[in-house]
Amino acid sequence: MKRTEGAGMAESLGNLPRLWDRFWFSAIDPRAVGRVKQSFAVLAGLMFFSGLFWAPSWLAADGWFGLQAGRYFIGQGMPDTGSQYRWSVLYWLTTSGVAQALCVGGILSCLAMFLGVGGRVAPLLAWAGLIMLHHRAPWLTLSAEFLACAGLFYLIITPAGPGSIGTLYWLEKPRAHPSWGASVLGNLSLHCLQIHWLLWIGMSLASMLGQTAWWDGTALAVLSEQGAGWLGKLTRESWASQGVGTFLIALQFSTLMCLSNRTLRGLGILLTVLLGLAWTILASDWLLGLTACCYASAFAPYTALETPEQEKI
Amino acid sequence: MESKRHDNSSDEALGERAFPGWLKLLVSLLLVVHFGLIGLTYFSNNSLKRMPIADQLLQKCHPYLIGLGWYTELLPMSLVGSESYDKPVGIDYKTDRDSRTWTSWIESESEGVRWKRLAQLIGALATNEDEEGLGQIALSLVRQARSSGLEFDQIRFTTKDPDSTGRLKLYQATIVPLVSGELTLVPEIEQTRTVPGSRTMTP
Repeated sequence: MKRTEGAGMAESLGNLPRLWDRFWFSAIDPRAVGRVKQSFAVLAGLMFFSGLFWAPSWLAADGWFGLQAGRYFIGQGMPDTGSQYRWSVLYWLTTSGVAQALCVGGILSCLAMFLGVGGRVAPLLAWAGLIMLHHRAPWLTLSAEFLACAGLFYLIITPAGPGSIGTLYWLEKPRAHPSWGASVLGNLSLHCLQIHWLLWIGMSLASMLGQTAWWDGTALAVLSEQGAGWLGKLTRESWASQGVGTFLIALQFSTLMCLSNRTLRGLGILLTVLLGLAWTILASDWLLGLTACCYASAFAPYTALETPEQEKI
Repeated sequence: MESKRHDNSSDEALGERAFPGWLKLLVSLLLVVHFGLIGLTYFSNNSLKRMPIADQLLQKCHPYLIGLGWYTELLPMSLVGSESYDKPVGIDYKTDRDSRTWTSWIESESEGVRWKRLAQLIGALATNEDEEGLGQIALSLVRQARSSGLEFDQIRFTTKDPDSTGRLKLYQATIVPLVSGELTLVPEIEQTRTVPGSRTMTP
């Protein structure tokens, strides 16, 4: 019987709920999330460690970005700025010691997250620490820190228990008993990371495409004038600036396309790492480069769960 | 991404036990709303002008977007935000008001990422002629300097003039200590011609 185009279209649309359900609500091997958790723990730990060197001097009451300036720039007292939703202990306890303590607490929570202890509490504390640094000085927040906060938030979704243990997990063969091994929440967490990264890459690419500076080489020259990048001073509209700028656009576009396609997902992961490397070289933003690698780990394939029958063989 | 699956139905059955139908619907709605708001926030960052409806929606969702750190309004979506304010900024000071010599204090291109972010902020404020904002930053820097034992009388922000080797002044102010011990800044006003030309009338 010949299948009509209409029937094919109807079948395709009818499959959407099942595909949605499989994408978000199927169970995965929790070790995949454990690996991503460890990479974000390293990333956030490095952010808190670098915070020890800038947060106390910048965010104290009389710091480089003092309390009065901080309150002004979040729009405190002005309508419709949302300033009342910016919560941070650094608005009430304004000494440099508190900023230091916040960073040390963040490092400890990242260590716990890496070792797989503390369940959901460890990523929650790491996220809260980063958020408080961000809320105290939103204008000073880096792109990598925004993305790290998002990643930590999604990782809070993953369940506590042996399925989310980091280091210790790798020493054990996973038991295939469904009540233990399966992790629907881990699947949710992983796919939230993937979608968030794709959104970021896509919107960042749209921003670049909308600015002529990225097409005529000005953007790279501006970065070099700011003292960023490892390529030295680039002149505006030079062949080098234009070429590298176009290469970066093409690389970001290719990364987005490959990550969105299951068949090319492996290539997409490699391109993401390459993109991170490009950001490190062109903007001296090694944190953003590392963040790209962390999000790339969320796209890495995970091993299939064994059914109880196969375990007995 | 799914790799080898020995039994798709087994995984789906596990999902069904963990998530009943009504919970799946609720979570699905939350996911759609969450990523919709994220996408709208990022899109609004890119746009030169926001749609009014997008602006209203984002404002209504401030508790969620700002409270949980999703709001990236203050962050450029690409490495370079805008050529008009993504320039290196120099901060100079004078210890004596009558002196003609400015001492270079901080050059953002030689400093770390936080100074570069502050330079972007200074550039954006200067582009928008926000003297109050510039004054807040200057006052903050002056207070920090004083706490380190460095007292100066005037402060200014400059940037490199792309058309010449000189520098463009973005902001300049004089520091005035108040009786209470607090500090305030008096920005320098640009000199303008205020006296109109005269006209003689013939009878």
